[in-house]
Amino acid sequence: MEPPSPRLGAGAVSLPRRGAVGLLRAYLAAGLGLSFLFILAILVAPAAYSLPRGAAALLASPHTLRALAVSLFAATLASSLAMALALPAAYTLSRWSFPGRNLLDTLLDTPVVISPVALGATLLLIFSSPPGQAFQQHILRVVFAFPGVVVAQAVVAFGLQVRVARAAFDAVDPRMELVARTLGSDPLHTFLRVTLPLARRGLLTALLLGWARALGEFGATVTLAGATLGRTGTLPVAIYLSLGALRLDEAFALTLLLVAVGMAALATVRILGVGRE
Amino acid sequence: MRSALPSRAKKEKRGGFVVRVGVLALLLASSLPSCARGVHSGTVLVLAPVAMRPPLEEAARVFQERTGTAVELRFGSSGKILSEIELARRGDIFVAVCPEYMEEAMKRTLLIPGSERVLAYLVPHLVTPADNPKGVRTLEDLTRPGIRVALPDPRAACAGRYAREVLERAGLWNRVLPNLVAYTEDWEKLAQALALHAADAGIGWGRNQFSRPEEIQDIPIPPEHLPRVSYVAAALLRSSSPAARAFLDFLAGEGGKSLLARKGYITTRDELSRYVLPGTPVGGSWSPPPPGLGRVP
Amino acid sequence: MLEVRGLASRVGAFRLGPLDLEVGSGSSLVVLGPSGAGKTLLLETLLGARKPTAGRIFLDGEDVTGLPPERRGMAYVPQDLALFPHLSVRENVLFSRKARGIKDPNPKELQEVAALLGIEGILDRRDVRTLSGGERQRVALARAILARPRLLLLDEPFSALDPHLRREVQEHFRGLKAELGLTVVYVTHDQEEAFLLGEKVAVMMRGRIAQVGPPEVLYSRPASLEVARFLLVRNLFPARVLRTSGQEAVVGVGPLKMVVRAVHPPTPYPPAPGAEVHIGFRPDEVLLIRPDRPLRPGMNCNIYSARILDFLDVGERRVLILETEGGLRLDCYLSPRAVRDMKVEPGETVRFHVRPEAVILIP
Repeated sequence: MEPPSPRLGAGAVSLPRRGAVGLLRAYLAAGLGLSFLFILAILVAPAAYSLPRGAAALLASPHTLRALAVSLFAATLASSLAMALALPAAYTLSRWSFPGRNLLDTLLDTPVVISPVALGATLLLIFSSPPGQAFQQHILRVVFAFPGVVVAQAVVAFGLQVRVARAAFDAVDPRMELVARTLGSDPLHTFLRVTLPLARRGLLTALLLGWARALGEFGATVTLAGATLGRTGTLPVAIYLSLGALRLDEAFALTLLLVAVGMAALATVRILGVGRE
Repeated sequence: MRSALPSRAKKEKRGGFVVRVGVLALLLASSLPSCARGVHSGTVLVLAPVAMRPPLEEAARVFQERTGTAVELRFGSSGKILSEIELARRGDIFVAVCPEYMEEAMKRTLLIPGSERVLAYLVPHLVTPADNPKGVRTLEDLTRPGIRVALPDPRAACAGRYAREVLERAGLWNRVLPNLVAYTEDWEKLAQALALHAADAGIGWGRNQFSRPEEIQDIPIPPEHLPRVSYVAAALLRSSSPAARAFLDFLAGEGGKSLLARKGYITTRDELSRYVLPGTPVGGSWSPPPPGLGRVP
Repeated sequence: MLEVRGLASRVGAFRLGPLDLEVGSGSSLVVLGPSGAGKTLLLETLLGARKPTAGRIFLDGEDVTGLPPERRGMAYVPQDLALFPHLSVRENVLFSRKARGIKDPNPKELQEVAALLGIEGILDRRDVRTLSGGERQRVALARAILARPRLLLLDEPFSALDPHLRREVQEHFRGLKAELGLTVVYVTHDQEEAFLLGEKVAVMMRGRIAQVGPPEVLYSRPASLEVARFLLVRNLFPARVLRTSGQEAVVGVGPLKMVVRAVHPPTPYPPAPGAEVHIGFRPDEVLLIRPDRPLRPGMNCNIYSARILDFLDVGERRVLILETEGGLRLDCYLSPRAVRDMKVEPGETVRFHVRPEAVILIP
C-alpha cells in the first residue's frame, strides 16, 4: 500500500476512477465467489459428515420417511392456506388506502419479527385460552396435533408471503387495471385477467418462499405441536431430536435429506411455473 | 509495445488478487473455530439443561457482581447441548442433569478428567397445571380416559428417560400410551405446556426446576415407584478458560449450594433420603427406547 | 356528448376545479396544460377511478357520476398505452368483448377496425412488446375503439412517437375520428398537438380551466398573462392604454407607442384610456426591416429601431435578442435565409416592425 503520490500530474485524473472500477469488479467477484462457497459448504458439510457413516441406511428407515411425509404435506398445506390469506391482504394493502392502513401494514410484519419459539408459545397461549379450548374441542385439535404443525408453519409463512405478494402487486401498474375497467371489465374479471397474470411471477415467488420457510420451520412448530415423531415430527424436529439423542450422523443425514428435497421441489416448481415468460 | 506491457501486468495482478481473496477466505474459514475458542477469555460460557435454568441464572448474576467475570448461559435439552459442544468444541462448563450425559461427554473426551463436581439431586415428579383441573394424584390416574398426558422426549431430554422408566417400572406404560398426546423436546416445554393447559399431566422434574414454579404443581411419586434418581453434575470442558474453574468452584462451594437450596434444589444426600427408599440407585443408566410413540396413531 | 358541471376533486393539498366542460357528440376537446396542472387527476375523475368531491358528469344526458369505470362507456388510452403484456395483440384488441363474455375470435368489427388502423398483419403477434411504437399506438386505439365507447379519452396519445411518425399518426387519427364519429377528449401539454387536433382547446392551469376556445382564438388572444406565458408569447410587457378608436388602440410601452388592432376581440374591447394592461407578441411576429429596400405598403406604424444584443442558433431558426431605444428587451425569430441576407451581428442597429393585428392586448 503506497500513499497517493502528488507527482502523478494531470494524466492521473482518470486513475482513481479506473481504480474504483477495479475495486468494484473485485468486490462483485469476491461477493459472488464467497456466497457460492458458503452455500456449497452448507451442502457439502452434512453430506461429508453423514455419507461415510451410512446415511443412506438411516434415511431408508420408516421413521425418516414418515417425518419426510409429515414435512412435505404440512409445508404444502400451510403455505397454500397462508397464501390464500396473504393474497387478499397484500392486494388490499397495495391498492386501497383506508385509515389505519400503515398501522395494519406494520402489524402484518409481526410474524416475521417475533422469534419462532416466542411465536409458538403465543399460539399455544391462544389455543389454550377458553375460546381457544372451545375451538379445539368442537372444531379442530391444534395443540400437540398435526393441525398445530400446519398452523405454526402457516403463520410463519404468511408473514413472508404477504410482504412478497404486496411487492408483486405494487409492481403492477394501476393504470393497467384502470384501462381494463374502462374496457368494460368488472373488478373481479380485472383481478383475474389482468392483475393476477401480471403479478404471477412475484406471487409464485411468494408461494415458494413461504413453502421453503414452512419446510424449514422448527421453533414455532415444536412449541405448538410438540416433538412427537410419527405424528407432528417434521424433518427439522427429527433433526433436533437426533441432536438431542447424540446421533450426529442421523442429524446430518436428515439435514441432507431436508436440503435435497427442498431444493429439488423449488427447482421443479420454478422450472414449470416460470416456463412461459 | 510499451502500452501493451502495463495491461498484461495488470491482468496478472488481477488474477493474483482473485487467488489472494480465495486464500484469505479459506484461511478465515479454517481459523474460525480456533478463534472462537479463546476469544472471550473474560467470560465463562456454561452449557446446561433447561432444568438448571432458575439457579444458574441467579448464580451467573451473583458471580458477575462479585468477580466482574461475565457468565454466558446456554440452555437446551441435555442431548442437544452435548451435540453442540461436540460440534463446536467451545464452551467452558458442561452441566448434566443425567449422569449418562456426563459419562457420554467423558467418553468423547470433551471434559477435563477429574473436574466433575456434583451440584444437586433431582427426583422425578408427577406434574400438572397449578390448578390440576383433572385432579391427577397418582401414576394410575394417568391411565384414566380423557387425561391428556405429555412427556419429555426420552431420547433428547434427560427428564424424558426418567419419565418413561418410571412408567415402565410401574407397569403402566402400555396403558398410559393411549393418553399420550405429545412428546416435548425438553422438560421446560413440558412445564410450559402444562402451565398453558395444553396437557393435563406429565412426568418430569419438580416445580422448582421451572422458571415460573407457581404455574405448575408437582406431586411426589411414591418412593417404591422410583427406579432411580438423578444427580446434577458440572465439569470443565477441554476448551475452558481459567475463569471457568472459579465459577465451577463457586457453584459447587458453599455459596452455590446455599443458592441451590434456596431455589428449592436438593443438595445433600441426607435431604435426598427423605424422598427415596434406602438403596434406590443415584445415577446409573438406562437405554432409551426407539424413537417415536412406538405406534403411529 | 359530455357535460361536466362544477366538477371538483382533490389529492392531498392539490385541488381540482370546480370546472365545467362541454364536448358535443362527434367533436373533440383538448385539455392543454403544463405538467402539474391537474390533467391526470381530471382524467381519473372523469373515468371514475377517483370520486369527485363535488359536481356531476353527464354522458349523452345520463348522469354517470356514481357509476364504476366499466359502466361509464368511456374508453381510455393512457400515455404509456398500457397494452397488456401477457396477452397477444388479438387478445388485447378483443379485451372489451371478452370482458363482456363474447368469445368470437374474429368478429366483423375487429376486421373493420383493424383495416381502418392497418393492423390486420400484426393481429396474431404473441408478444405486444415486439411491436414498433406506431404499431403499439394503433393497437391501443383499436382496443379502445372496439369497446364502442361514448367517449374516448386520450392522455398525451402521440407524445411518445418519433416526430415524423407522430404527424402521420395524428393525421390518420383525425380521419378515423371523423369516419367513426368519435367524441374525444385529449389531454396534453404539447401546444402543437393541441392546436392540430382540437376543435376546441381548454387551457388548464393549477386545477382550473383558464380559457376555452377554438385554437385560433386562443392563439391570438390569450385571456390572461398566465395563459399567454404558457402559449409561448415571449415578448410580454406592461403597458397603458393611451387612446382608442373602434377596434384599434394605441398603448404606451415605456417610452414607445404601439398600435394594437383586435382580431378576435373579447368584450368589452378595447379597454378605456388610462387602463393598465399587458401587451405581447410572439418572436416570429417581429419583422426585421431591410435597410436597402423600401418599406412595404401598410407598414406605417409600429416601427422601431433596436440594437442587437445577442444572436443564438437553435436549429431550424435563429434567435435575435434586441434592445429598443427605451430599454425593452425582446426576442425575434429569423429564418436561416434571412440571416444570410442581412447583416446581423451583435452591436449592429436594426429596425423592426410588429403588425398591429399581431399584438395581443391582455386586460
